[in-house]
Amino acid sequence: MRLDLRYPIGLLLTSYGAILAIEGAVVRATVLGLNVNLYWGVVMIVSGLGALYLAWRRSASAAPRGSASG
Amino acid sequence: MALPLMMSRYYPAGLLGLGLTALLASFMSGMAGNVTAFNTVWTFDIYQSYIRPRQSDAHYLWMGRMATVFGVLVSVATAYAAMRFNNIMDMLQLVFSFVNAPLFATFLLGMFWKRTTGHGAFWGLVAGTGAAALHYEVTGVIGAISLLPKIAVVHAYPSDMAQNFWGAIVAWTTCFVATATLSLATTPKADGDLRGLVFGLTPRSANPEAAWYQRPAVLAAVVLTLTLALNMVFW
Repeated sequence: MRLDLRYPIGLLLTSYGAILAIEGAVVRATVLGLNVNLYWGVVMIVSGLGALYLAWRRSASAAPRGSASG
Repeated sequence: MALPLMMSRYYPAGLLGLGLTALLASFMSGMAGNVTAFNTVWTFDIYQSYIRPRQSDAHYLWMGRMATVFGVLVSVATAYAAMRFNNIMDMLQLVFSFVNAPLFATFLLGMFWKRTTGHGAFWGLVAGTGAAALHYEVTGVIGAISLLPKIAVVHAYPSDMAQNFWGAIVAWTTCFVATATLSLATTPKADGDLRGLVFGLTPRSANPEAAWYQRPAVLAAVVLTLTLALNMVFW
């Protein structure tokens, strides 16, 4: 099995970030005047999507080579 | 315990869960590393080398798994012992004074002095750990209840940490002297066996052509400078 670790990392960060951002958007709890749940959730979603993009780009560039040889 | 305290004080529901998840994940990965190191050292370096050599792979795999189970059970038991200490740092430093301080002397001699022998290192380590145990048994801490009964208290330290540090000094010195003395009294190892293990006998792979971010000395200097700067800012 050749699992690209960026897929699980990206999926984990994106799903946790989504939960956190939704919590922040609905409940609107603040710390020192900042809605940290929402902000940090967005940061996690962006990082997670970034990891997924890197994994997708790698597999997209590897696929044509694989199909050409096989 | 500063981190959980900060989290429970400042994190709202949501981020608190994420913080606890991250904390548990880091504890688990640290534990996983320790358990892996434990079963590897036991199975490869002790069991295979000295107790039962030339067995099948299946046999060693089984022994490795049993060592894992044993190691986890011991860590669970340690957690109960840890509850009897004022704080986790006191206990950690006590364990370090028994284990890490003499081991540091062993590694230092083993890596930088080619005359060190296996017997010298082993018995030096035993002597160092024994010295730490003896130090713990004959000294006390003012106003503290000891975990183990003492043989005799010849000196009382003002704090747990003072006792731990002096214990570490005693253990390190004993191990260093015992390892060096016993090594000189036993047959030296051939230089060929020590290539790649002892600093003086290992060819250095310096690469002056590497870019600055690939050179350890440059990176170390950067980290040291940043550490110093942060210490000055947050003094």
